[in-house]
Amino acid sequence: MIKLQNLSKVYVSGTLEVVALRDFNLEVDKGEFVSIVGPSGSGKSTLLNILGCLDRPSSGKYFFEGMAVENLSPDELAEIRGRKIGFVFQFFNLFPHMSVLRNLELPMIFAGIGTPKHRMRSAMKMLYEVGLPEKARFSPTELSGGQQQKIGIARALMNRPSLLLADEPTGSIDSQSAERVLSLLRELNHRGVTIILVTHDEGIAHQAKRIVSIYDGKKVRDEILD
Amino acid sequence: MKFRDLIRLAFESVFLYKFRSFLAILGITIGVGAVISGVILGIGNRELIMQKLSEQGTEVLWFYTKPKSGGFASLENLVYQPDLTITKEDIQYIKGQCSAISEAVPLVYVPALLRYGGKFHTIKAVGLMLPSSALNLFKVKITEGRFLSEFDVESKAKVCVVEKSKFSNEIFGRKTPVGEIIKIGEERYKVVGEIDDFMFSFSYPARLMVFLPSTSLQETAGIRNYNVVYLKAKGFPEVPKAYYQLKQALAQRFGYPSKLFISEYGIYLKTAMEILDILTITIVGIAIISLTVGGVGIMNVMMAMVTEQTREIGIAKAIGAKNGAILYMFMVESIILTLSGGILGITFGLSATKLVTAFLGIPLIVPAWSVLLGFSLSIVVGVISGSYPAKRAAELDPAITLRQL
Repeated sequence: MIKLQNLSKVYVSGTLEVVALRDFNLEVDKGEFVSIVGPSGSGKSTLLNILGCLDRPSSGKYFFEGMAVENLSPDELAEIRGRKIGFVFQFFNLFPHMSVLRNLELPMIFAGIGTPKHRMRSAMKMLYEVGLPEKARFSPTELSGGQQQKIGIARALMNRPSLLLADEPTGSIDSQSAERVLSLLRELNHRGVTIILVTHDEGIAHQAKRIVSIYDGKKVRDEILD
Repeated sequence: MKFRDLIRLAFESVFLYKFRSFLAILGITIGVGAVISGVILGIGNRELIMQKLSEQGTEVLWFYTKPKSGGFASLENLVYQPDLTITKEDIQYIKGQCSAISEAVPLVYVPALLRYGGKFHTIKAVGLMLPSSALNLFKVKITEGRFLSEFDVESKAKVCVVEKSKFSNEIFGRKTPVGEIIKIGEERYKVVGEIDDFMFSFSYPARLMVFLPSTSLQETAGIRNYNVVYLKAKGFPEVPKAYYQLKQALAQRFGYPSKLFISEYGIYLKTAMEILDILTITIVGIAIISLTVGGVGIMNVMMAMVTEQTREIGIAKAIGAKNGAILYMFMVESIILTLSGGILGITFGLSATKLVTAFLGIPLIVPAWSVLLGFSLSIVVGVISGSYPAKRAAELDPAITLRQL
């Protein structure tokens, strides 16, 4: 499903070149649950941005479901982000001035899917799935961190993506809520959603079925867990 | 993204930043209001001046045979010119040559001596060939008795009509002159009517004006033909054209300008109207500057929105918003602001002009194009002010904006 070949990413700022990723190779199959672990500055966020079609590699190839991403137009990339990939962020990134329900509608709105009524129904259904149907009319700011992250996950799932990308999803919530969020992710994976989780925490990384360690832009470990 | 959703999201943003949106809208309201008021007041003023001028007989042109002594036509030197007179045939010729002229009224105009109650008075004697045309051309108001008629002219009736003025008071005292017998030259005339303030004084100094049938005056004064002709243009805007046609016709007929004087004020009228138009354009120009200031305000607000919402834009892109969707969202937001400002501006502009025109007595004329102008200007300002910020927003790199968390 995902294939990275000799992928490099170099940031140029003035005369300074920062190599964020070098000759990175990775294959992820459908249904996998992969943790990418590494210290901050190791290149894992860059990797996640490229995997999420938010950024393009400087060299090398990235195939997403067989498509060469570097050949796609910005609109086609947006299309993939909207329909095939779900993003879960460390700081949730919900829109605070909109209701929970409206936040969940947004991916469908941007993808041009459904009527308002149909979208509302899908959003409600998704709220039931993450166990927060009573929060539909709330503002995200009225929810706890763990609840907000569940809403974040729900939003990522709205267009039934094949890939879920989670960037430190438990990085800013308490450990009890973190446990609930992680079990939600495991359950989703169990139901067939491919998940790539980025973290600097080895303990959380071990919740996945496979760990890829990254250090200084290079893959240093790729291990299937029992 | 669907258009309906785009509109809704843009409106949500406008309402989210209520006070800022209000200020942005206010700028456009003032600008559009000023433009529309300027246009309407300009048009109203033009119309008012046109009306006033037309009441003053502005469609009227005239020419006369020059007095022998030359110079300005004063009563004393405007003696009858036997070497050039204007005939009925000349009048026919002029009417045939000048398509912009609808009427021509030839007059015999001479100073004369009036005797009444044993006293002599110098008067302005005006002999009319076409009394009914004169009645219409000079907008004569009859205060008592009757005006002259075509029959009077044909029968050389010894009747006359006097202008009500301080002179008529001096001569006739308090009682009405109608029914009195006066002596003009050596002939006795019966006063059959009295008219209100006459529109023209013909020459200086002011004297009592007495209107007689041209035939009777010609006989009394021992003269033939006419020396003054009043003409009416086919409406106010035709005055300059009528002037040029008349000038040409007279040149062909008499070799103007040697012996004739033509009133030239039609030309000055045109200049006056042009000055009025320049004034209106200036007012509207200033109003457009204030609209531009409003537009800069909108752009400023939109730039602030883009900067402030950089993160939101990145998130929206991460969850599938295309660059075009972001672009249109900001554009629509900008147009919502300017269009609301435009609608308010039109409303306030119309109300303000209604008040002002009612207060100053200027006619209120609201052409449909002025309202359309207000609408289109506000949309244009929205597009221009919104396009740069929207482009900036659309081109934001989602990877970079998300890294700024």
